[in-house]
Amino acid sequence: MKKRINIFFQSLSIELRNIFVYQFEFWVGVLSTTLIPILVSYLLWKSIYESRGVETMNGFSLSGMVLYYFCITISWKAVFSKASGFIARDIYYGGLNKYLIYPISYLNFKLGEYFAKSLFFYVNLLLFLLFYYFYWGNDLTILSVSKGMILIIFSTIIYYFITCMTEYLTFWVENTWSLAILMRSIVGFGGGVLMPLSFYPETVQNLLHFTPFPFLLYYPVLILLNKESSFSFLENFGVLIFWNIVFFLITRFIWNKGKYQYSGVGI
Amino acid sequence: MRYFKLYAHFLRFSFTKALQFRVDFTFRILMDLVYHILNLAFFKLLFNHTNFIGGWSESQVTLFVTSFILFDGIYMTVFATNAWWLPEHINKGELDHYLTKPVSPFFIFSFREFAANSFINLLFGIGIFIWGLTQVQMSFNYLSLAIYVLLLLNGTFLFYMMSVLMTLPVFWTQSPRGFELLLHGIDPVLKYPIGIQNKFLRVFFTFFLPMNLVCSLPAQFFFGENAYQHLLIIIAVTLIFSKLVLILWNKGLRQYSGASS
Repeated sequence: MKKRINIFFQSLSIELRNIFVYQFEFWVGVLSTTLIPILVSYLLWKSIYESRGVETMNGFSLSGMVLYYFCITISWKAVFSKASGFIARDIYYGGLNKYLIYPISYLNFKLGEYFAKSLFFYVNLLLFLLFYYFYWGNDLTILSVSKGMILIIFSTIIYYFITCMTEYLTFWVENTWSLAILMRSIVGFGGGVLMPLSFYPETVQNLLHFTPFPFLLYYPVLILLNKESSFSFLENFGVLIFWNIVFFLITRFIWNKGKYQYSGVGI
Repeated sequence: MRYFKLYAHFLRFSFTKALQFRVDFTFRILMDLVYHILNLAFFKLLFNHTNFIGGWSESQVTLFVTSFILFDGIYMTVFATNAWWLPEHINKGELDHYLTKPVSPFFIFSFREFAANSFINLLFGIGIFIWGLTQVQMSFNYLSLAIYVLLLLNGTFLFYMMSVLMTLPVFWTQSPRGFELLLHGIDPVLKYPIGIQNKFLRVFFTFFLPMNLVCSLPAQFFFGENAYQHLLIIIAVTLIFSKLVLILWNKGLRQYSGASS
């Protein structure tokens, strides 16, 4: 166990150093892909609130909506972490060879790599919430933020397994990039990244409860913001544990089947 | 004529290559279809709660979104793969391959890869755009429709020039992707009606980083909102911006050493 944890932290630290190699480009990328979508969402909702002439819609004031987008956008970035291809490339180009002869778990090693970017966004989210708490945050409590953060960390692990599932398909097919983007779009829609799920028709909301998506982002962010949520922290946590086990088993199954397809030749 | 022949060769190679990867071909179709459906669903959901977004009615926004889908289909098919490979070619010293050919390196680099696996989605995009036109509750003539389509094609080219601009710093910094992420970050500006922007953003995204010229201003032209003023802006900004990118491209080429990193 100690060895596994060591490997996880080693790989996390290597990846963190990789991330910051090109610092200027990195910060430009992070700021633009976070702040501009939030700004555009704010403008969109401002226009809607103004055209309706109302103060709140479905439990969200305009400022509450901006806060929601801020938290869900950063949480989404933490959960989604690395772009697609970080495993597929190893399989496709034959780079997996070296990992197969190392006395370490590939899944564990890549988890560390995956978490590096997530860690960066967790810190950003916490710093933002701290700032918000001191200036405006009457609603936030340390307990609600802690609960929300725990759920978001578990969501990251689930999405890591989902990513592994799609990436492992490279054992059989030549390119899984489109599948990864497809998953990202679906999770974005079902997880409330596009807009709070309370704006969806009730039937759609009920259907989504049969999927892991609302529990990955939407409810954790509501809990984080100490807003009224259909699911308590413990219920949400239980659902995440369930989906974690399901996706872990599927991931392991695909890996066990796929590794016998692997030739190690690359292209 | 020589360039048309060359492009016909590129098309032939691209289709042959795409058909070798049939599963990817299917995934791409599925991915783009879901993406388009979600885009339409997003605005449909918003219109359950409001009658106007940025001053446009539901039918106008629907046409705007379907125009965006058409733009996306053209961009993904014609330009996206080429834009994706630019930083790789620079960093790996592979631009030599283009520079030694007896044709414009910018042409060959920009059009070499035709994403045949996105072509089906372009056909879907055209179909969705036609459906969008049937939703518009206003009369229009075929001339303004033809100009609108031309403006969307122009917008696609302009977006490509913007993506080239974002990757050009790679010539100097040798970073993996330049400022490509900046363009992805600004991407939502393309998808929402221009009416939601304040004055500063309108000016910035029209004259400095002309994202509004991709879909929004063409739509304003089509809806008859200061049509000819917008047409003039589109033509002038496209010419100036493209010229600027080409100047920077040539400067970048002079910086290019051919050594790989």
